[in-house]
Amino acid sequence: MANLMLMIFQAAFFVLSVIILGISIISYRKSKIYIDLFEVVLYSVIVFTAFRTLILSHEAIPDEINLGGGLTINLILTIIIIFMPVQFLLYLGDLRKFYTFPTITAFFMILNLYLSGIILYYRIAIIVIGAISFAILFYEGLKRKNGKILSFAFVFMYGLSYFPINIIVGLIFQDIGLLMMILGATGFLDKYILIDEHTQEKIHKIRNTWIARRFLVE
Amino acid sequence: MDVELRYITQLIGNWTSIFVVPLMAIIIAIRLFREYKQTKQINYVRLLILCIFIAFTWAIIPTNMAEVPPFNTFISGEIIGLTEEKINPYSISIGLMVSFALSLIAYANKWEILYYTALSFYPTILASAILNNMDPAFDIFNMYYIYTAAVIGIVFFYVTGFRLRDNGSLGLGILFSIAFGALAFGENVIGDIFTISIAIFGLIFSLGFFTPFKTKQIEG
Repeated sequence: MANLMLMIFQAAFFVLSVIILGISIISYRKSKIYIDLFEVVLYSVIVFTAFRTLILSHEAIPDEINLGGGLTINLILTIIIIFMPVQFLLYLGDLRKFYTFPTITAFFMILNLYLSGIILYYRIAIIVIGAISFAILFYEGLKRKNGKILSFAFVFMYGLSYFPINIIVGLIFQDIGLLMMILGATGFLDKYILIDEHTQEKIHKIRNTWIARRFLVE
Repeated sequence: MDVELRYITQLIGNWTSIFVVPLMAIIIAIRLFREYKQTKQINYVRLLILCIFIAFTWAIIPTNMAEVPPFNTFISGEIIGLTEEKINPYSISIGLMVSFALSLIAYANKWEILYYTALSFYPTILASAILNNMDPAFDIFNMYYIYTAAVIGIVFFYVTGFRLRDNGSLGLGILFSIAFGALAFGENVIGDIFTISIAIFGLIFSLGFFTPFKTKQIEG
């Protein structure tokens, strides 16, 4: 029964992540801006992980595929998921000189995991890097009143669920992470939570002007 | 006869480079400092060239001293390292030298994304080796990095030199080519001639006499 419940949850995650990917692709096709492209790449990885988790719940498929040393597919995916917000953060700050840092760090993490079974350094590094990017993106999201930036912060929480933690805690993390990403991708956060009074006021003024002009003409 | 000739060329090559290579670094440092005093701004191209020469000095002095008397009696080649096949002080200095060279190329070409790439990549190799208890796999990785970066560095120094008509890049390209030749020919008379050539060309370059591309003075 518990397994069935878990499978239903995982199936729901998969469907939700496909929906977010669809929304982000539509959004990118409309806007053609990098912030949306980041979302498309990130959500593609998330869809893949959700699909993988779903099929792994079937007993016939081995739980972990070890690629050598301490490197597993799960760890590679976690590294990608955690480093995407870091890359996004650098893009956001226009720190062009540091654009290659996440790629270099991720490459060496994968190499080190492949050569040795020690995953302690990896866990420490990933938590520190992830927590820093979470804090900065969360702060920037609130400061700029941008739902997409805020939702990117919660990718860290989603990535944490792939750590060997309690299964319920992992599910809660995944839940919160995915929910925030959906709210960010759909524009719900921008529309109802992070309301920019200054912009709203401007829109209101423009509307009033429009109505006034139309009234005068008529 | 051959042994005697080799002994003489090795002695000249080693002693010349022991004196001239640090001298090149000092000349570059003085020119950098003078420019800073005049303009109150750091010339990053010159600073990177200085870093390359400091790393070069670090690489060449201990290794050459370990080959000539009386220093060869108390400087152990095993400790300082004489090859780039393992991670040792010698290969680290060569690795830093090629990393600074790649950064210089990125800086000269204004490839902003690559400014710190090589300078962050190489220390990460060393840090990874230390964290993995000096796993021999990283020795191989280090060696491949040095050779690959050196070849890329030489090619791009020439490309940058001709493309931007930059004396510095072209000069470093020639200097690195001679150094690569010395490394390729190894321990023999031809290798020694290449080592002496490094010192001669290096001195010409650091004193600012290597100017194949003349700058035009605009009057009026």
